[in-house]
Amino acid sequence: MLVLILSLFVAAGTEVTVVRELHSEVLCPSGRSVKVVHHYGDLRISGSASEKAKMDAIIRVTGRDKRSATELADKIDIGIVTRDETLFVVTSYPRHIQPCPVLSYEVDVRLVVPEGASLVAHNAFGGLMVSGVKGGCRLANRFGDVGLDRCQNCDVVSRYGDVWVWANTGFLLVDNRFGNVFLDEVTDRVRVENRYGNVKGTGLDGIVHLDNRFGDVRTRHSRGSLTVANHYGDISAWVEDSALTDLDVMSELGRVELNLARMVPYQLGGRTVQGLIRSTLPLQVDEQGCRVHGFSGHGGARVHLSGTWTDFFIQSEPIENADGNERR
Amino acid sequence: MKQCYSDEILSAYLDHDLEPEQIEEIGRHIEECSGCRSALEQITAIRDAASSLEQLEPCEKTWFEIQRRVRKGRLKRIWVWSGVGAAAAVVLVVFLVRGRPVQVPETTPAPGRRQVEAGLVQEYDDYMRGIDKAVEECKTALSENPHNPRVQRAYLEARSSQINALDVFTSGGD
Repeated sequence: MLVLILSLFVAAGTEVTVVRELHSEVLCPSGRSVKVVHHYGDLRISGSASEKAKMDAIIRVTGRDKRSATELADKIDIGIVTRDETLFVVTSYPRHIQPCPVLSYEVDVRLVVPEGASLVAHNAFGGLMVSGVKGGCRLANRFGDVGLDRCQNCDVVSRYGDVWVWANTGFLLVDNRFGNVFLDEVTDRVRVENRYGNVKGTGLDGIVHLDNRFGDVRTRHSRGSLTVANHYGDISAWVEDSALTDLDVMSELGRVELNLARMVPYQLGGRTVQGLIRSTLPLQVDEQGCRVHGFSGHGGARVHLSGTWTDFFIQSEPIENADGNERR
Repeated sequence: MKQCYSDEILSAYLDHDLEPEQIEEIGRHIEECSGCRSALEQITAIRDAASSLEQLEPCEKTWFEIQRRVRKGRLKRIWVWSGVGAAAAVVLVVFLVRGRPVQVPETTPAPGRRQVEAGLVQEYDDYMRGIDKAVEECKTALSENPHNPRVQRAYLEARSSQINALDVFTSGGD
């Protein structure tokens, strides 16, 4: 053990980290597109009322000696070029990087763009955070999380990371695999396709479609029209807001827990194949436990349940307390 | 001559992951620029090398176990890549419909059951392909940025997921 600790100490002692900063500012009139291509590091983009684009970057290079680390840090560049009506921001690394003596390098970029800009951003091996961009966002990220805060009209493709969305308006399309999706106060038109992870939505409003595989889906405080389809995972949904007009729940190979709040009207119907429906409410469940229907009050949310190899449990109070809005 | 293109753009060019006019423009540039031609050759070489790396294939025993468990009526809910910076978490949960093995005679399977089983096997394939791709991408990244902690973490997660998925399958989730 001592040898291991010593060798780690010695190894750590031979490393040198060089930090270099880059700053740049260019005119970027409103309505212009911004395309950003980055990898190895975090990329944070925010919208502002200014008609300028501002970039601040921190380059970190770790090597076995200062000279080689500095040499590489000096060669890493972030190109900012305007072509036609598009501002390109591209991180480039020198082509002939020797694995040794340079050990690692990464660049964290902060970019401020006009809030009306149309944004396309790609990143890999780092997080991608975008806030306040209203001109539309097309984001792609691999091996890192994506965060969207107060943006409008966004299309997100993510692999091997989580997607967090807060207060998005307009449309939102999320295609995620190998990670979780968290939606908070997202409104208008939402479509999420997720695999190998969980989906959690709070305060969703509008026409919302959540499609998940191999993970659980949980929704709270939903309004408008919500469709949840889940395969090979559980669903937990609430009818607790009278502004929820439709709730469609489709499940294959899972368990569904539906919570109907008291005093909130609803009309409910559904069936399951190779499963059971149980309820603590005065709903009509057939003898086989495969069909259910009932209502409470006048009007209210139209709730439709459909399951294959799925059990449904319908109750008026949740088993566990609501966990409120979850943010990272 | 126009400014040279970054590896990222050249890589996207190889994938045809650009607008048609960009592909045309870059193609013209490459014809004139030996530096970008050389870079493109390097990217291609790295990709070729990555694709020839050893693939982790399920052994016969694994497939035997999958078939055996499926025949026994134990449907599986497969793994989740737990993101959020956690270590690789590939969770295979043995899914027992209604909490118990389904009592369906093997000779007369219930309608839809075969489809479910076939779907699960297909999902397993898709999942493994996704993980294999992650491993390959991480290897490529490690070849150029070997000690980058993000890349290392991603590689470890992907590799662990790959191994765990096979391991849990062979053990039947027990």
